[in-house]
Amino acid sequence: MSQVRKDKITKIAWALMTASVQKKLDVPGEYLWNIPVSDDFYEVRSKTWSVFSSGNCIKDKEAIEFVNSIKLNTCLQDPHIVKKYEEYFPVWLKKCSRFRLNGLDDFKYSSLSQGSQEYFINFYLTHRNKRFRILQGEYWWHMEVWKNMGIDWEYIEHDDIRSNDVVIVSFPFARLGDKHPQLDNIIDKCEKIGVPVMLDFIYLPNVNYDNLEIDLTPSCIKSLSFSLSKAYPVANGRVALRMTREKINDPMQISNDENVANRLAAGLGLAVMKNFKVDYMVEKYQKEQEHWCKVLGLQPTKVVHFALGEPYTENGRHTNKRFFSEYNDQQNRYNLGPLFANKRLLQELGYYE
Amino acid sequence: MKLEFTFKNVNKVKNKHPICRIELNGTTLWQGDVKNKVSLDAVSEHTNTLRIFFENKHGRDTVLDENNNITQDLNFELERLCIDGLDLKYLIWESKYVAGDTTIPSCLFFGPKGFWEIQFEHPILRWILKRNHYKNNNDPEWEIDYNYYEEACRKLEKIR
Repeated sequence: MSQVRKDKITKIAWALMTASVQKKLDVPGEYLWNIPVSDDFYEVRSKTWSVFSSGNCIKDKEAIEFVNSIKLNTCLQDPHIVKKYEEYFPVWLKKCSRFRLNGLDDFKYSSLSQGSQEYFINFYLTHRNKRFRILQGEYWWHMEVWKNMGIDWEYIEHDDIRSNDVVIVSFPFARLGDKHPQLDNIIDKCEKIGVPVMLDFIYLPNVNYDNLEIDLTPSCIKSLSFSLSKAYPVANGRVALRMTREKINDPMQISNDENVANRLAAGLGLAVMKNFKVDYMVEKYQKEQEHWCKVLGLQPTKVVHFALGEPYTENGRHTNKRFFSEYNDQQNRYNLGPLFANKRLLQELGYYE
Repeated sequence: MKLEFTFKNVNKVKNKHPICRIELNGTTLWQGDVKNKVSLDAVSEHTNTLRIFFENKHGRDTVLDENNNITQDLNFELERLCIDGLDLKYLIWESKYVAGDTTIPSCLFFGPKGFWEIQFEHPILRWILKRNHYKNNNDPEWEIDYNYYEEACRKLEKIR
């Protein structure tokens, strides 16, 4: 990896947050943690620290315009919309040649989930008497919830996986933007001792593998989770899906069976899938990922909007180095989305090179 | 450079209204009856001395009763000073009031005849950050980040 250009990275962060205040971004920000509310120096500075954080999707103009054009209200009157969404999701996924989910057909039970967090909560509830296991660098939300709810958990790195455990792993792994090097060993172990595993495929639509085989046949893999939030600008629409081998009669499934699931989310998800290929963002932005990694001395990951480098929290910052949570350990993962979305502005400012 | 003064508690005596004169680096910028807001444009230097003179205060403008208690007085207070849109906030207290041979530090009250004075540097943001760090010793990166901010503002000014 070439030398990380901290100075340029920081300059871009300042430029984007100052432009945000001045309403000069090509695509405005979406979350309060990187939208300065005033041009006060200290306010802008605090927001520069979170420009590259988060796993959020690329704010692609075309995708945003499409989402804005969808007339969702009619979905409320469509009793079949959730079913259509649930059935179309795996069909849509299978169209992508970048990965093959071997054994996906064995996961016969699909359930709309209002964002990944809903299926996580239901997973916690199902296994509430077990110990949750997770790899360091995983989505901090899990640990934060477990800590606050008094749920038993431990990092996988800190103890052997034992029979009363359950495991959650993201694929690609959240901090690395690629398959976790320990994943196969973890699955083997879980298969041997009968530990249930949830694989979280939240970043899967944005992967740039050529033809990755993903083996879902081990029976310990009990559930798969998918979401559109990291690939398309629908995160706050809460569009996700859980697929399981067995029917799990947890609150989420019961709501689905009762036909009271969120039809707006289903309609939104279905419309996006009908209009965009799984790897739309990959096709559109892979060259940009390569470009920015070269310019900033970062290492591209297999997730198109991520890159790896030295922690950006080391740039001019002495406190609050872990956003939102003490468990947030993803500071070396750069979200390049804001750079992709503001290409024209960064060109004008002379940062694009 | 833009200067915006906010005054409060402006007290007249009979029909006499307090008058002040605002001076930057020895040049008078404005003179008139003290009012709630005064906004001025001025040419700054790197280091600047800003003074506000209480022009029309005399001994007879302080009225006493038989017990020497003040019953009426011509006076006013400076409440706020913004330079180039930035409120100096508590840094406004890094000033003094000079009345004859007496210098009163951190005084925003215009009572006796005299003048209020503050010294500052331009650009004002840079000075504010520097002074804040000097006072609180909690922002060692202020100058590096100021330079980032300044560059971002300068570049953005050129577009659209």
